[in-house]
Amino acid sequence: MIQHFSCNITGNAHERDGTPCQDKLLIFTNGISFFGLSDGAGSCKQSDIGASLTLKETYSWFLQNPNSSSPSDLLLSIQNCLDKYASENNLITRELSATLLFVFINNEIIRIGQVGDGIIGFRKQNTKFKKLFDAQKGEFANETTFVTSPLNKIKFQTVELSLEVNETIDIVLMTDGIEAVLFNSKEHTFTSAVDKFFQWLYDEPSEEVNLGIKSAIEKNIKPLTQDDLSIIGVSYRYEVADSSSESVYWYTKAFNYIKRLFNFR
Amino acid sequence: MSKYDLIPSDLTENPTARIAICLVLDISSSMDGDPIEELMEGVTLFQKSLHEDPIAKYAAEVCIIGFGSSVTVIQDFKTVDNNYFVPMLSASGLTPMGQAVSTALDLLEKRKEDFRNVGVDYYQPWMVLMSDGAPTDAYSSSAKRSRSMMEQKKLTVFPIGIGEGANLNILEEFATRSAIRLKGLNFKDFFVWLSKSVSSVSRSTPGQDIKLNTDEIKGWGTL
Repeated sequence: MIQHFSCNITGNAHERDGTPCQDKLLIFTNGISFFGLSDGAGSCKQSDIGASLTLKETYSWFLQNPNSSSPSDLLLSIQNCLDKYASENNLITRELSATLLFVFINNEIIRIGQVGDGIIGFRKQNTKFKKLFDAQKGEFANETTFVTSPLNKIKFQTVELSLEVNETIDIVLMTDGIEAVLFNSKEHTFTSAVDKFFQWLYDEPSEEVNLGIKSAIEKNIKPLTQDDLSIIGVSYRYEVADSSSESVYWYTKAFNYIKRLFNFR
Repeated sequence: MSKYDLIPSDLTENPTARIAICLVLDISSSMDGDPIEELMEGVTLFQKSLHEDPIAKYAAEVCIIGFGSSVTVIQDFKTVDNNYFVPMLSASGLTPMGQAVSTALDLLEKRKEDFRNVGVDYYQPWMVLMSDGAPTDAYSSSAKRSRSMMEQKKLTVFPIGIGEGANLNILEEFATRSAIRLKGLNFKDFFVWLSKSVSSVSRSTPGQDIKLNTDEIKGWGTL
């Protein structure tokens, strides 16, 4: 079973300048599930397009490589896609700079990755949320790396998690604007707002939750920051329908393990 | 209260990225009279303008160092969100600019370390160096240190000369940009410009290039 919420709000700075929101969000939940956030670089005018292309290319790559446990080729694929768009539109690729945060769920396997700033947290079976990766930031507030940075400068952080039958995982992805308000960097903890969002997700009608979270963020968080605000929350429980499916599950698990052992695709 | 609501304890305190600004001010005996009075008013206006800015008041942290008969930290780094400090400056003594800049750079480094320790993001810090003369102490090592930090994009330095007696060539040794000579005692316009520039930085989003409004400099200074 999968439940999710998402919210994407244009920040005060872009509203004031009349410029587009540079955060983009992509969600697909058909069989396999994909959740992605990308934050276009503030200094690049076309970075909102770069963010959209980055997410679409990441999703396509996972559709073609659903069992790959080493997504290092993904970055190359994103850069090729951005280079192509840039050359067709008379741009330099740097103008499309964006970060990337994603979660890809294929049965019991969950692949999570991050390039640049923003934050991803997770918890299993209702424990406390933990930060998954250290963001790749520079010393100052306006410095980070992007998917367009030279490959040897990018710290592409990925992890593959595997769930047991009936195990639940909650994952939260945030771009840096909302991270500053919902993650306490001194204590390395997520604030209680994140727990509230998930509680609303569990308890309230799904058609209401996104609107409720959006209204809470617009009222309580947007006045505190200039940046765009984007968040995705995913609650996933890996279930197997019946005993025959459970056998299939164990066969598939063994098969996938052998494939990974021999590095097959 | 809607069921979809948050309370302040659900959020972090002051999530605004900070910008540390150190004002390094000449209060030697030659500044006595109108210059020191105008300087005091300018510094007060600067803090008042930041205090009235809804974003900058949470982002800007201002430190004031005076150099004259001694080097004095008149105000350590503080935000101006609740109130602001009216500095009481009195002019006396020589111009120990080298020691003052060295103190400023040490305090800026310490402040950045504090930010890192509490997990607060920060912008490149600023140092404003204002003098109506030339250093009377050994200044070359602190000038070299300041300039090198600016070259490495670790610090932004604004060297400002007050009046015709200011040695702009020496002030420029502290920075990689040209020193600007204040027109008369036009401290107020300078500090209004400075507060607007701080405001632009505090409103910028990560990755955004920040361009200072150099056209407005013509209103208060000459290159």
